[in-house]
Amino acid sequence: MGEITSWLPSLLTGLGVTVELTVLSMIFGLVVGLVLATIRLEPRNKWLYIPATIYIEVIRGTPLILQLFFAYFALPAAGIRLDPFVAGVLALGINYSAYLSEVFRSSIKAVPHGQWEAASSLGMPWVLVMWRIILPQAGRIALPATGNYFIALFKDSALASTISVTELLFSGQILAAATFNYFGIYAVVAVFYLVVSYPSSLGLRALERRLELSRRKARPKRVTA
Amino acid sequence: MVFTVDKATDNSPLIQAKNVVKSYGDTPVLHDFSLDVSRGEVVVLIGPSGSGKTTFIRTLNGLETIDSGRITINGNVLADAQPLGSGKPHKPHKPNHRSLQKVRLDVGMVFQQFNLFPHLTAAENVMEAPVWVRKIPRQDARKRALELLDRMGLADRADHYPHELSGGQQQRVAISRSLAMDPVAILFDEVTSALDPELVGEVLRAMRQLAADGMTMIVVTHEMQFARQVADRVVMMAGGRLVEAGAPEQIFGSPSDPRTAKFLQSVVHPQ
Repeated sequence: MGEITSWLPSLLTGLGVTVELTVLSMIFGLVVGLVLATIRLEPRNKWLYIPATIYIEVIRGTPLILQLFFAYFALPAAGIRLDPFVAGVLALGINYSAYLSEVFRSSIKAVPHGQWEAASSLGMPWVLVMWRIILPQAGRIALPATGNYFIALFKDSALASTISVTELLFSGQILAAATFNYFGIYAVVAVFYLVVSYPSSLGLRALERRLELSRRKARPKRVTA
Repeated sequence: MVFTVDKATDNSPLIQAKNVVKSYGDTPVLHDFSLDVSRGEVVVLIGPSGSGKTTFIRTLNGLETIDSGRITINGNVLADAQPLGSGKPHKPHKPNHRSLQKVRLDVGMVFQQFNLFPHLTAAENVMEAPVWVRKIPRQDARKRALELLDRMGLADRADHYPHELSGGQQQRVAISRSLAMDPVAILFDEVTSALDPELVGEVLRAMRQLAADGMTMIVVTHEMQFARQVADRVVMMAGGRLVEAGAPEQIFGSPSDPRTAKFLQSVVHPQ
């Protein structure tokens, strides 16, 4: 038991890095994914559509670990030297943006066309229609898949250990190399991952339920002056 | 570039469509169709399905582009496209972004499928465009929304979500939503066709009220009783053309075209 306690500080620090890495990469993936999805709604706009499509296909068609190596080991050859953590966020974020963009694109397309027509016939310009009418509905459609990707990203972030980001797995590896207690340490590392991922997926499911439109009810009547 | 070419005067038609031509691929839907609508007029479009009624009113707020012809609304040119063979390379006319915006502020539309925003309450549906497009303070917009909903008999439904409302109530919210932008005209696209029969009456009553208040309305409907009682002018369409137009008594009483007679026969006495 005392042994486990002695591992905790560095594993907890590692878990902190893992969470940071996940959250930052996810934000990157969400923002870039949304931009890509929006671009790919309009295939007639070739100058944006074709590059966006190439980006998505290249990213989805190559291994994530290779993308991490590219960001950390290959970019310096082009004169771009990134901190391991930054390279990790960049590679994970870019990778997830490609997958998320497809989730967003299909979710946006799943919103009935009549919603676009109704909103634009009220004089709402495109950006407003998108922001106020389409995205709140598409977001609900996208939430389950996006949540899955979030959990997957949390676990995929362990790959950043290969470019020496001291996240949870790498912290475990360092301890294991020093103590040779592989079983004990990797078991604790596994528990650490679970302790975050399981409640997260429960939380996401709760959020889905909370946002479900059919559960929305008229608020109790307010007494207005 | 000047977008407003025609200055609206009180005696010029509010809505003017001239020689509108439109096809979907090789299928023509509007052949040289022209119609003028004056301020305060209620025009009802009738005709068999596929006659181009819905397509026509959708061109009036830019939901459909036209191949050639000219559409002006309240002095704004919405579409002005050269006919085929006029020497210029032919492209479907795409309305200019700003004129489209202007026209859509002027012309409201109510749809067959209501198209309420499902994530907003009835009042929020009505407030949405005034708040975000007209930049009216939320409180004022809500007050106005409640007045409009009250006028539609929906005062107690203001804070309900669309899925909690019946089809007839949803459609009346949709009418309120369109009224909230103070349009000069409202287009009604078969607004009772998706409703259960017992809910049709409440929506037609709301429309009758609007007509009585002097709203300019273009209505596509199969409700002949409504056309007969409320229309100032009934326009019979078939195959994308105007067959005949006139006062309801004339169209329903003594149609001059056999197609009108046949159509009315089929609607009034379905086999």
